[in-house]
Amino acid sequence: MCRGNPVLYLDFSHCSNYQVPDGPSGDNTNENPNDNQTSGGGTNNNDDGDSTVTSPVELEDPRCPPGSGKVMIDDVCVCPPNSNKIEDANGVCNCPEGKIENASGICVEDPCRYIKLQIQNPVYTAQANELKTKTGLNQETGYKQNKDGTQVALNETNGGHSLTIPIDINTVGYMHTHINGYNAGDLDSDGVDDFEKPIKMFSPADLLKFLQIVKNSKYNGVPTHLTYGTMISSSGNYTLRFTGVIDDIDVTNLKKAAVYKNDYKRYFEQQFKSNKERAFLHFLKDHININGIDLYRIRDNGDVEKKTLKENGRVDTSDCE
Amino acid sequence: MKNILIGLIVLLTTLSCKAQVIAVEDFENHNQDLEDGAYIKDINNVLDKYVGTWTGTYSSKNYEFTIIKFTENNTNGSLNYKVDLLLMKYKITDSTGTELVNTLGFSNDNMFVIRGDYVTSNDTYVLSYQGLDTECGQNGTIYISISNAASDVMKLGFLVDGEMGLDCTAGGTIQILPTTSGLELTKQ
Repeated sequence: MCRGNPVLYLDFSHCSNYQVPDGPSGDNTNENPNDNQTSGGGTNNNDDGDSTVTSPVELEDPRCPPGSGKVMIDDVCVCPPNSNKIEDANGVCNCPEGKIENASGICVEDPCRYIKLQIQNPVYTAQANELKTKTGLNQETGYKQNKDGTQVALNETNGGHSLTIPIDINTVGYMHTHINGYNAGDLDSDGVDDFEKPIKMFSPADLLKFLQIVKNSKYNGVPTHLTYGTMISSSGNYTLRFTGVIDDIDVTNLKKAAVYKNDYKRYFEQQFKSNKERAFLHFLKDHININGIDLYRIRDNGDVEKKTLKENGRVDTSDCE
Repeated sequence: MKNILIGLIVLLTTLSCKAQVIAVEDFENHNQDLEDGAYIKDINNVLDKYVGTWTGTYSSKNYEFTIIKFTENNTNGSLNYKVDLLLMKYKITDSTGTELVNTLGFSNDNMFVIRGDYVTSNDTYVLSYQGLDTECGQNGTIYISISNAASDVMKLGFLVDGEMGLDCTAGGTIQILPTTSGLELTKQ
C-alpha cells in the first residue's frame, strides 16, 4: 500500500511509477500505445485505494428492493461492484464514511477531509500566509510541491505578471497568487496612467495544469485525491480537487489554454462580472465539460466551502464538515 | 374596458421585451452580472474614432494596425449578451520590409485577432492580445488612446502578461509589441 502521512507534507517518492508514458508530463502527442487502462473498463494500478473506474456504474435492478441501489448478480442483490458503495443498516447502498459519491455514482475520497488536513499542515500555512502578503505585488508568486515532499519556490514570470508553473511527472500540486489590480504607469505615453485588472480566479492555463497533475497521478503513484491547484488572492483563496474519472481528462478534447482565453474573459469581464465563482463554474461547464473538477473556497478562519452550480445557474455553497 | 386591457397587454409586452442596454463607456463601472439579452452598446459612437488603418515605427519595426468596430453576439452556453467592441489586426515588418507577422487576413473570431475589452473613464480603450507565440508568453494587454483634435494620432501601450501554456518547452518568448514605451501611430 502506497501512503503518505497526510499530516506532514506528503512524500510519495517511494511509490512506483507505473508504465510512465512519454505523454502526460506536458507533451500531449505521445500516449503509450500499450497502455490499455485508457480503454474502457477495469481499474488503474494506483494501489492506494483510489479507483479510476472507467466502466459505468450499474443502475438499480427492479428485482431488488426499491431505493436500495442494488443490482442482481448471480441471483443475489448486491451493491454495484464498480461503485465502492456498501450496504448500510437500512439495506441501502451508500458510500462508506469519509467518501462521497461523484457524478458517475462512484464513491471517492472526500476532498473536504484532505483539504482540511492540508490547511492544518504548518508548512502549507506558512506558505499560504506568505503568499497572502504578496497579492499586492505586480507579479504572481507561488510554490509547487513534488511527490518527495519538497517545495519549489516559483518566481519566473517571463517579463510579465503571470507566474510560470512548470508541471512534470513529480508534481503533486501548486499554490500561487493572483494579484490585485495595479497602476501599470503611462504605457501608451498619453499622459494618463493605465491600470491592469487581473482576474482573481484560476485561469485556463492554471486549470489545464491542474488537470495535467491529475492525469499524471494515474502513473506516478500519487493518490489522485491529494493532487491540487490553489489560488490565493485578496478576494479569496480557492483550491481545485478532482473526484472524477481520470480517463475523462482527454487531451484530444481539451484545447490549449490560449484558445480558451477569449471565451474565459467573456464570463468574467462581461456576463458574470460581479461573481467570479459563478463565472468560473459556468466556464467549466460550458467549455471544459469534465465531471469531477471541484472548486473549494478556503476561508481565513479555516472553514472550507464547496462551490457548485445550482439548476438555476447560481452558485451553491456547502460547508465541509 | 376592452381598450384598457389591450393597452395594458401592449405595455406589459413592451416592458418585458426591453433588454438591458449599457453604453460601452459606462461598462467599466457596471459591476453587476448582465441580464439575459443585455447589449453593451456604442450608443454614442465613442469607438468610431479608432476605426481605420494606423501605422507607426518602433525599434526598427514597422507596424500597421487595422481596427474595425464589431458587434459580437454571445448566445452560446451560459452566455446571452451582445457587445460592440473593436478588433485589431496587424502586420509587422522589419527595417528591410521583411514580414514578421501578419494577421490582417485573419477572420474576426480568430484568437490571434486583438479583441476589445472596455473603455476606461479616461477614454483609453483596453484590449486583449495573444501573439502567434502566445503559448510561450507572447500575450498581454493593449491600451490605445486618441487625444488630438484631428483624431489622427493614436497612442498604443502594451503590458506583458507572459502566461505560458503546457506545451511551451522553449522558455519565455521575445515580445514583438513595444514593451518599453508607447507607440505613436498615424491614421492613414
